[in-house]
Amino acid sequence: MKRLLNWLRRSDLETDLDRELRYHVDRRVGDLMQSGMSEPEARRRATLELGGLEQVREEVRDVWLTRWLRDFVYDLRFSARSFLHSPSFTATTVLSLALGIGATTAIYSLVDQVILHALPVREPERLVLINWKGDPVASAFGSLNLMSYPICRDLQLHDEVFGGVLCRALTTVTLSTGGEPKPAAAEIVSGTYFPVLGVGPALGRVLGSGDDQTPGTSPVVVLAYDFWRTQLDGASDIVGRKVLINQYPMTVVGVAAPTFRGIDVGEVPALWIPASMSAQAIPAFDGLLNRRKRWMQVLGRLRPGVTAARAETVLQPWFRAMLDEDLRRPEFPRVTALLPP
Amino acid sequence: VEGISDYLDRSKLEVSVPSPRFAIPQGTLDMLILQILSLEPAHGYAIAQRLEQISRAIVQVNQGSLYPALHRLEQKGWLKAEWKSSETGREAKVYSLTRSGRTQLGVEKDSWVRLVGAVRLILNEGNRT
Repeated sequence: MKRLLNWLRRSDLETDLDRELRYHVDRRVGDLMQSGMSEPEARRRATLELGGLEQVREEVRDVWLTRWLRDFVYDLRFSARSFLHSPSFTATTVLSLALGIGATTAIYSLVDQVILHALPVREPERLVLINWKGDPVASAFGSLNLMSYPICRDLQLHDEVFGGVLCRALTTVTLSTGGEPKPAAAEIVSGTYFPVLGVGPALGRVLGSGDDQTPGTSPVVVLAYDFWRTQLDGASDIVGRKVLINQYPMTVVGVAAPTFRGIDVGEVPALWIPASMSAQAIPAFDGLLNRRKRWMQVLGRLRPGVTAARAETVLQPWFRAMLDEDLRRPEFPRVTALLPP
Repeated sequence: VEGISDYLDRSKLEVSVPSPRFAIPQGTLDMLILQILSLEPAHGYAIAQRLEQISRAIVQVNQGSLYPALHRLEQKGWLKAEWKSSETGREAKVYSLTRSGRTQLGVEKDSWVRLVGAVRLILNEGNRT
């Protein structure tokens, strides 16, 4: 009962929070305009300072939801005695309800259009970031916009909406190109990364799906053009040379097109490494094939004529099925109430 | 894999203006909020401004983390909130310190002073050798 009240109270909280944040933003906008800023600019700045309104909302929601769940687990433990006559009782049903709520609020969003638009890639306006949001209960799977590699592979099968799907994660590796080992920004990418973005090589070749099959079997890298020019003096015999990534030897198979500097604003990778080599590129990482390990961003290229909204609709059953399957896995959290031995 | 969280954080697609100022140490924000509210009740925006004024050019307070912190403190019973009309006439959610909040501020200040003292001792030790 208390639980129900909490869920109902939730909507009060939302309005309360919205009102609170609106107050903050309006005051800030007022102050900024007094110092001579135009209104749209002031509004943009005020939101940016907060790190995005939706982000703040989400974090505050997390604060409350954590508390509610704690209360709820407490209630449950408290009433465990009454369930003793049916020891098979688990909390799965209740948690699945919570997860169900998470799933209905899940959305795939098309964000940072501006950033995507600015990319020097083929038809950037058709690139979407695939994301979901929901309650933290569901976030064992993912909030923010990070997903696992198996999920990326799943999405690649949805060719009815996507012309291609790529995933990527930025990391720092220790790179040795012959001299002193140095830290370098590296982008770990699916084999679809370059083809889907439509970025080609300046020299040699870029990575392809052949480089992203069996884990550990494709020790190859593609260098960024700027890195090749400035750090390796644009050596013309670079293709075929070995470099050490975290002391693991990998072969340079090419240099990417000059204008391409990765897809993060402000963070320019020195090289690209296939996801199949993530265990070598990220020390102590073995989560490549773990569906629940969130570490990559997934981007899709919408097919001509397919809108983001359409993609969302098409993907929804797949998403629900995945949550459903998660619920059935033996490790899904459950409460047990057993008689002491 | 605990070490992975670093990589995760870095792979977020974010636009942020790099700042030469220090990010505020984790956990300190709560204490600063309690301190500001111990002087007088205030709404979120006023707290943000005060943090900004006091710490100008030294530490950077991410305004986005202010509201989650306020709600967390409210939930712990250290703050209470009330909608009141503000200096502009419009209603604002005004936070004030509760009695247990005041006690908590004492506890946090105390452990902060002890921590700073200990760190100073360790650093001085390094200088001597």
